[in-house]
Amino acid sequence: MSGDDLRLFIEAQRAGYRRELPQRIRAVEALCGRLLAGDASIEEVRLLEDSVHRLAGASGVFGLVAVGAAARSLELAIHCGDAGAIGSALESLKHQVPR
Amino acid sequence: MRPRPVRVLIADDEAHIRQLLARIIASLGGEVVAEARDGEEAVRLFELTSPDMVILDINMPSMTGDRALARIVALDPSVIAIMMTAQDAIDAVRHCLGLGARDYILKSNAAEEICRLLAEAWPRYTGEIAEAQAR
Repeated sequence: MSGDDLRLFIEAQRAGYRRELPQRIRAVEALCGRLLAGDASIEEVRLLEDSVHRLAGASGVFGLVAVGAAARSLELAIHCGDAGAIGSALESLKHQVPR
Repeated sequence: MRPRPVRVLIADDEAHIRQLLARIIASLGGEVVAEARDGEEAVRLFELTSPDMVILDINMPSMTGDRALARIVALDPSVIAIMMTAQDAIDAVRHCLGLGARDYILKSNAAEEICRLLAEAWPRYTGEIAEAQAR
């Protein structure tokens, strides 16, 4: 594989990740809603934690540093169980999604 | 005789990262023999495929990367293990280096930088593997 092929692959991966992002954040928002309403099951809380952690880890790799930082804040807020912080971190995450 | 390609196992719970690493490894002439979504699967696939190198995310569901690393190093102390992690997990990185990990890559790096870091270290890894095979 040439350097050009790898560069093109990285660009395609980055574009694919950005395309998926709104849907992933909508899923996180729905789970946060259930968590804040006290309706989330243990599996849903685990799914939320995993989803947010993956966003925090992968976003920087694909050039979305602000999304990664916002997801990290949300991850910490969920870990602390701070409802106010969860709400504001979620808003910040939604705001960082490229349009 | 041409040396065989370095055989690599990749473990990360994010599919995009696994795909990216697989392409980088292929571009360096390595062979990705297995991809795992969590630590438990990584250990199971390590036992099945006996790779020369593993790239492990530290924070994975079911079994974390550091626990998987400890199991893998116990199975093969000569394995080259590279940990991947978020930028704020330096204590976890230190722990993994103590367990026998060779290097680490921060996920705050962009894809191109990860590619550059692996390419830079690759000759060292291949040299160590060739040496171990010759013994």
